[in-house]
Amino acid sequence: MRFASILLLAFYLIHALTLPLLLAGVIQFSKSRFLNRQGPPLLQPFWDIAKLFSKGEIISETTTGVFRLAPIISIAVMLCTALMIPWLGVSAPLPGDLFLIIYLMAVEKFVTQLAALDAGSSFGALGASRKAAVSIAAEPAVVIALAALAAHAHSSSVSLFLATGPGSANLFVLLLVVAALWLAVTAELARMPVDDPTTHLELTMIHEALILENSGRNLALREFAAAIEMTVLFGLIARVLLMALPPFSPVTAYLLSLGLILAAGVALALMESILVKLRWRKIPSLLSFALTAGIIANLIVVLKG
Amino acid sequence: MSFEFGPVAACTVLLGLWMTGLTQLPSKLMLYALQTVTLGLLAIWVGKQHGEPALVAAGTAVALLKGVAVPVYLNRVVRRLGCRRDEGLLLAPPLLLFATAGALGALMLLHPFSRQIAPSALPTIGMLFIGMVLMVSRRLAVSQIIGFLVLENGIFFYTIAQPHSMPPVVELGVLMDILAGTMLAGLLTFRIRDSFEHIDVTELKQLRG
Repeated sequence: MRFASILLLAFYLIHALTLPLLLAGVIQFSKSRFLNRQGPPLLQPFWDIAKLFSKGEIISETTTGVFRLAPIISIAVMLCTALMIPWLGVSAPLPGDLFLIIYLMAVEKFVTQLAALDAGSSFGALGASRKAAVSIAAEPAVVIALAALAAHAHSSSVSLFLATGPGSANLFVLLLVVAALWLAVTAELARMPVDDPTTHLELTMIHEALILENSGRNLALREFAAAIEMTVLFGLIARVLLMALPPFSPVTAYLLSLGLILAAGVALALMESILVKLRWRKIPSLLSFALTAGIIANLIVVLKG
Repeated sequence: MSFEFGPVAACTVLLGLWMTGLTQLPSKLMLYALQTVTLGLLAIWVGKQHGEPALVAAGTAVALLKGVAVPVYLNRVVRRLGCRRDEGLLLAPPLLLFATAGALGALMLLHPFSRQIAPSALPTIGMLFIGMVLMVSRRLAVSQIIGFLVLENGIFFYTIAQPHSMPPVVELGVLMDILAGTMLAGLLTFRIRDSFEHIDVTELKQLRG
């Protein structure tokens, strides 16, 4: 039994360390294909991270220890949440709680913003304030959507309310939760309708402004933490979708989750190729749909008893 | 009612709720078309289930006339008027979305009309309510027509949710009235625009020659 749990931990860790970069590669690749370009090879993000680790870095004179510590905290928090959420279709190695995970992610956001402020550049401060403003709208949507599932299972333990099988909530609730999560998660990850990850226009960028002062090893850790966050959250959405289907054997569930995570990447690339960025003022109105979907999902759960 | 009715009913109500959060008129019309076609198909299905050919006929007519013809007509009106956005009145669309969702939740949870209305008909009351919200919360005359049509959808929805639905003559008569009303309202919108240079109903306070 002990051996099996160590094996599960290793399985999750290996995936948390490799799959995010592969997903980033898939997104880059499909984005360039949608634009009729050749595009970088699928494994390019791996080489990028390796290159960044071996490069020297330039750090602003005003920074303190926070700046150095923040990327490390980010990546530690992301690996922790990756071990608590059953995003690979099989049960997670560590026991997790909905509120613990939400607050861990909030800690990650907090240290990222703190580091951006620490460098003392005005863009960092702008990015931090924008990130905080988007989070104010997106975070409740994530919490409330997941709370519908937790209310259905009468438990906030992740392994219980994300359990697949006959006891899971009805299809309608699950689809509402998936819709809410997709809208809120793309905003949290600063992807297309909210922020364009490829732009470096100072007036609009969110994520890029946050990490503008980082270079070398710090930048590698930042990019890696963001990629893990994206993969785990996509895996969470895939898990909720899988709950709508009849239970599978663990191997099928694992393969389906992998497929869904990569498909979500392709869908994101498609969205980023065809959508235009929303005006800053319109972001709350986009996220209000996510929050409403979450509220309605809760309502249905409460009404059904 | 058997098991398919509930989710489909909830879907149509949610489409209405979605419309309260939108500002673009063409996408609102698209959602309205989707909602009406769904309701028409639901009526056909219920008619088949209960062996009522009149309801099947009414459902077909609703899906074709109100679900396809009316949105296409209103889309042309919107395009010719050249105003695609309606920013709303009183509350901004996101807040209105929350307020409507909250009111729907209160309606479902508190169930204030339990003496008069069966629980299965509550979503239809929700849709009536959404239609009223759409009518009072928007600025442009076209949006108010859409709100009125959603409200009428709610009434049609109520008749198919009841075990003994309305006589077909009444149903088809109402349908014809709606068609004529929409046409007239669409034409009137042009008249309003011609005499006031806009179709903002909040500005229609003084008489003009």
